[in-house]
Amino acid sequence: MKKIDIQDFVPVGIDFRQMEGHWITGGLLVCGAWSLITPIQYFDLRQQVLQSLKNHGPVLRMVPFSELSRLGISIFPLFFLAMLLLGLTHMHIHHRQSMSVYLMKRLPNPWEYQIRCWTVPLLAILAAAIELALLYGLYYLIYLKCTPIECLLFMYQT
Amino acid sequence: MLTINNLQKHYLNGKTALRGVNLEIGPGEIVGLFGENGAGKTTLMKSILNFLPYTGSITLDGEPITHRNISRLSFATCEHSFFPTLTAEGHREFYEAHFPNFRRQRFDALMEFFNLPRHRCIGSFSTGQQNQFEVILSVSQGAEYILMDEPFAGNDVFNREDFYKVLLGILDPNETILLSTHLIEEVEPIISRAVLLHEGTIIGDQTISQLEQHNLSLMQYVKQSYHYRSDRVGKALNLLIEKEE
Repeated sequence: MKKIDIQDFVPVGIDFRQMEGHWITGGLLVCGAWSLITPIQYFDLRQQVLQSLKNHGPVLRMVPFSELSRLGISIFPLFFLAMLLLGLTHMHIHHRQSMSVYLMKRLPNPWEYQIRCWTVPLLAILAAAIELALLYGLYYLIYLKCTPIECLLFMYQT
Repeated sequence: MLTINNLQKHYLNGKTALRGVNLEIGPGEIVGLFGENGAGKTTLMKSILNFLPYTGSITLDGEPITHRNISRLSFATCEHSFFPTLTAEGHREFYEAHFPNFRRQRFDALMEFFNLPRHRCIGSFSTGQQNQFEVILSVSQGAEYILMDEPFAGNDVFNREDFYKVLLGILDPNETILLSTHLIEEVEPIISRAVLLHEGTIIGDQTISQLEQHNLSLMQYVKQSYHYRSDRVGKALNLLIEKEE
């Protein structure tokens, strides 16, 4: 069975491991690091909420999770957009310096050109989407488990 | 047999590049495709290769040209279709992986003949070297029909002459060339047929032997077909001089 090489999924001449691989990995790490704003904000607000409980005064409701996560999630659409631009850049590469698009369009495999232009960007988008789902799934669990039930706003909606 | 029936190509800006072109090119022919700039030569080749949408039909041995038979055609263009950041060796590996009939021996022989470096990126080659490499790839692919669109633009005359000789020497009897060029007198000794295109229509199609029977050189035939008036320059100059006086 032929070994799968990432180089078969990027435009010919691009060294994925030296160039794009680092940028995409870095981008995913930055998205993950930025998303930490959500738990940091949460724990800060949780302190205030718990204090209100101790003070036996009006109980502060925790900010809804959707609102809390807005800032942290905001970086992911930027990453998705960057990956779409990467795909377009891959297509543009075949029109730069020479028209290698003419060679790609003559290959017996009619999908070779699209595969090389779009596999990495789409996989990166998928990886970011999975990262988003896992991180925010985790943050939501923390939100539910660590917030006193009387402070969860949705429990008291009428 | 490459068969083109009623090929028409209209661009969105209203320009008609090809108007009902009919052409048949059989195995083993070396066809020179001539025409003024904008005649439709490049559009014709790109339509054959399915790079452009068109109306009409183009078939190879009766079958439409699709990914199933596209490897029977190769293409060398003055725009170049190689990967500029890849070396010659890298191109050889790529072609071997994607074109089952790639001719490794021919590739090696031509690389040696033109003394092209194997381990430098093609983007760093001179224009002449890039042209040579483009043509080497097209004749080494293992295709039966080799389309060349002004492949020698920028090459010096010695380079071109060397290549014509090599081309004639290496081609198999069933390999077919469709060569678009402005170098009419240079290619006359190597082609077997001349097709003349003017404003999207074929205005002439003769074999070289037919021209010889009529005691016509290719240049004479081209001038005749295009109704070239050799006195027009003189008349225009006289008119200019009269106006100035």
